[in-house]
Amino acid sequence: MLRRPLVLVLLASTLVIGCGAAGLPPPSSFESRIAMDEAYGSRKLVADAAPADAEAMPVGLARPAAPMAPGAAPPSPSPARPLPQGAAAKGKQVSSDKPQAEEESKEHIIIYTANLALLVEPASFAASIDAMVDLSARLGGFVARHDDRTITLRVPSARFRESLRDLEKLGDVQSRSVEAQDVTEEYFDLGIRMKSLQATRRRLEELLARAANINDVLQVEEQLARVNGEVDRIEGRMRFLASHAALSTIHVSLLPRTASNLQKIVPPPPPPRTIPLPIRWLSALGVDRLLELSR
Amino acid sequence: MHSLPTCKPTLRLVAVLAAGLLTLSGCTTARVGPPHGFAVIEPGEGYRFRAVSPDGVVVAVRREANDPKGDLAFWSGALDAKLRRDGYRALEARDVEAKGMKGKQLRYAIDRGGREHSYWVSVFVTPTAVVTVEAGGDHELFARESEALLRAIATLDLG
Repeated sequence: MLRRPLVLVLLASTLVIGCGAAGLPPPSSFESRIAMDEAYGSRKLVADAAPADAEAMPVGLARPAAPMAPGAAPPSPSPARPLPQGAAAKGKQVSSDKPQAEEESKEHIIIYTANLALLVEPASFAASIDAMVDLSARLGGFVARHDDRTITLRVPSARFRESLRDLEKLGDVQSRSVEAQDVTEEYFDLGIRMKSLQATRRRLEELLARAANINDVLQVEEQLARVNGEVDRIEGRMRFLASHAALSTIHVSLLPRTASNLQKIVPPPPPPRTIPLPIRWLSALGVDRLLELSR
Repeated sequence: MHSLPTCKPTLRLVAVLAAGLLTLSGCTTARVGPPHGFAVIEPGEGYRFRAVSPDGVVVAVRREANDPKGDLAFWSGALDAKLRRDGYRALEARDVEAKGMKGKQLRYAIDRGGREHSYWVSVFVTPTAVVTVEAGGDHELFARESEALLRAIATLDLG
């Protein structure tokens, strides 16, 4: 009596796991390198024309049509809550009939990684490493690893730019690169597959409770073990993505400052020359005048 | 038979002159609804309106003649260039709206006394006036008020 549903569920679970065995989606649908200058243009990657609350978004979790972003909680790395708030609902939407509009509305999950090479006096290597350790702690991050000449820091994505700016003050920048990896698609796809697997697991557990003989029990348990394994794997991957989006990675290499490598540094061009307009009230703008309540 | 009361010609002339002077001097309203928890204070020099939070976040409105005559792009560009020259770090520029009037909000950070300060200036342009809504304060205090400030800016009233 139990045979037909059992066979159907086993078939379904095999298919689900089979899909999983095809491997994770490509690690990123969009990768780009961005220059971290101070101009508005540099932020267009994640934040131009930001909505009113875009200010509250962290760098690692920005809305699609919005540039920069300090604030909202990044996706939780906790396996108990593998999707960020609202993401589960958005995951559902992606599987609906109008994926494009839904995708436009979902949050972006971006992993930032920077590489920085600094020229430092050889005698100051240890002091520089110590300063970077202090800096990461001050910014709410931590040291992932370090040796005498290199250090890898993890810092909250909301303070990524600030961290880079502070690190650059510790030496002469010889090279710098920043990479932004958009893992939104992968994250939401994983969420959808996770829900599907969880539903399969519930059905298998119901079947297990109703199994009439030892043979049925063994078959269901075998499938259950495979489903659980896949759930664990997806949970792990989601946790990895969420934690890397919440905490950016900065690799710093220290190089000895010598006369020869100092010559290689090309000074940046001066900022464009702007001419002050002869409009008197413009000089009264600014935070100093604003906060001077006695005037 | 009663006749309708009429003003004396001199009184009428004074009233007309006063109205003309007020118009010429641009003495019209420019204010925002004070954010929740803010108190309105004396506008002070150059401002039409000013309000302050208990811990020193300030929002203020300025109204100046649109001279030289420019559009929103000109005035937001002029303000931005000026503030950058003064050492303000540009963070973001976004479109804002107050009672149907389009404006531009420029956001900056600057260090003062070893503390990061936030400074927003929202600019609105009419054919005759340039209106700025400035908001600023210590970054930590300012962040708490940012939502209330956004709501207040949207209430800008030009009379």
